[in-house]
Amino acid sequence: MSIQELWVAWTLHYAPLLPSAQSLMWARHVIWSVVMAAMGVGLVSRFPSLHRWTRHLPWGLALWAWVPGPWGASYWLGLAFQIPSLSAALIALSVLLHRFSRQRSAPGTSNQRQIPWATAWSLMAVLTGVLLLLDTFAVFDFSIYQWGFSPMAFALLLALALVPWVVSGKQGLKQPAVWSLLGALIVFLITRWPTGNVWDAVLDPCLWLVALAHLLRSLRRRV
Amino acid sequence: MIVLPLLGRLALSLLLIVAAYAWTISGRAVAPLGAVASDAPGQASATGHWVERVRGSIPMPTGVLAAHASALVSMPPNHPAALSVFWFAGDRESAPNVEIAVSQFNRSSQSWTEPQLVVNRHVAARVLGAGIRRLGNPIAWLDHRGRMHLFVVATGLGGWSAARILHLEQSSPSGDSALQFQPVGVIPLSWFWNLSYLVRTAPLPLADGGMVLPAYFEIGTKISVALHFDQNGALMGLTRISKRRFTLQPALLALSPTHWLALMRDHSENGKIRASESWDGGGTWRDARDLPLPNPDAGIATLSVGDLHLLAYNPSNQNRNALTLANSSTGTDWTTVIELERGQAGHEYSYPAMAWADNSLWVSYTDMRKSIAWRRFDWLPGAAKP
Repeated sequence: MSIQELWVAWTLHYAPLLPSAQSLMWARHVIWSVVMAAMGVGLVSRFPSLHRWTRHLPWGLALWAWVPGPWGASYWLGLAFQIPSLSAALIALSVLLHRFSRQRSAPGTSNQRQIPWATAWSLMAVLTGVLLLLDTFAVFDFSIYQWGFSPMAFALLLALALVPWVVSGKQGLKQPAVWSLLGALIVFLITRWPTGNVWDAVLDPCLWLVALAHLLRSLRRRV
Repeated sequence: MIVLPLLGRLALSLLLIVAAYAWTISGRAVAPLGAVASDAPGQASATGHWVERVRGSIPMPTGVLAAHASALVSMPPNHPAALSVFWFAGDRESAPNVEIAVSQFNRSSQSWTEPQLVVNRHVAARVLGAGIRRLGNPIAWLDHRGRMHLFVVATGLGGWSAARILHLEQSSPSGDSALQFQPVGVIPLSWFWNLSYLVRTAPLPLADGGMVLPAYFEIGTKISVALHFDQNGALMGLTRISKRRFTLQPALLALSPTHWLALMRDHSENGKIRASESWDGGGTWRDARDLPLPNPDAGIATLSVGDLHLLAYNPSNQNRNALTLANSSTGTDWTTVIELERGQAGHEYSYPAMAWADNSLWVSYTDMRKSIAWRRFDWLPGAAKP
């Protein structure tokens, strides 16, 4: 049996379970509104000298994503980028929660020395993104993306997502990158958003670029 | 608050993983491997020849300047129409006003019905909740309930390379002459914003009522793939057809229930019709010896009628001004049987489609990018008269 045949036997056993078109309508609005609001928060905090009405920008962007049809942001963003991953949405949600709870310290940071899960997660996201990008252009004999429809891929990712909690307990789940991966898998288990493929639930190309930037920044800090 | 020790957390994690896995697989369909192709219709296995019965042009919607990429689908025997033809119509290929048109060949009047425009990008986008920039190649398939499914190329931000495959299902009653479609969704095929998968060639029906839809990836490189669907039109999986990075628009033939052949358009210089074969009903594919037939980077069509396999193609590696029909009993040795078109330099007869309906072979193709031509052939036993 060749590697390709083994891969087919392992990956194509169960048919993909896709989300319904109706539920995707909701997913598109919910996910884009959270992501856009977080982008608004990012913009406002980067330019604090702007007029004070700009503090309402995140709310405006979030509402804009809910407008149906061609006047809505999710309609045009969906044309180009479809729907962001659930991980991206949950990381965006953590940005919003942090912003609106007016915490002074970044979430998950403490004086205790702890395992840098966020950096480890960024490294894994970057490597996974590279593999998925190469897979898009059929560099491998088998399709990694197709494997994302299989229950086995979901189970392995769930095992990976639980490692910080098993190793570090409650502390391990405090960093947004860590709990967003676990949260994305739980939401995916229930809803199958955004495509029924677990790779699309945990990582999208934009989040991949963010992870790459985070990783490079972490490395620069260490140097 | 209860603080679990390391072993406790490990045990709970394992329990969670097993429970989630069980949840994920419960009630989930098992994708069949090595599904068999159904028997091809028709009786064109004995010695005989094709005789043209009638020919013409499909009526075009009013005011439409360009037509391309027709797809034929045979209708059930009790349907008022013998077959349906879909194509994309608008000012030009990739024009903003391109829509998917359909006409049906009425059995009682023996003529084509007035064309209807059945897929509009604005309407489909509103239902999906996300924009569609352009529409292209339609492919139609009838499921086991007699419901029509349409697979249409729908582009995102960019040209054809930014295309996705939009799946629509018939929303009007099965026997209704006025066809209406409702978007089911965009088929998820790649991680990279699901970009650059297109369809062009006809599906291969399976014995279990499902089908295999040929498709291809085309951004930067050209990769032929096969998409498995169950009898209701639910996606079952994707298999790559060829390792060669210049093959697209695969056209499938079932040489036996599990021995399949994919003949492909060639994007390279001095192109030939490329071949790949599967011995396990589409589970795995291996590149095969190319056909000794040229290909000008243009679409082809295949069809099995009884034991006879048919291939419509442009017999040149330079241009599309001629179109030929060939047949074969093996899938490897092909004999030209009909010259469908032979035009002058600059003429284009391309993107053929074939179907078997009412004991006839039907061929449609793009005629100078302005209309869709059609031909109907009957199979007569015995040698052709000189």
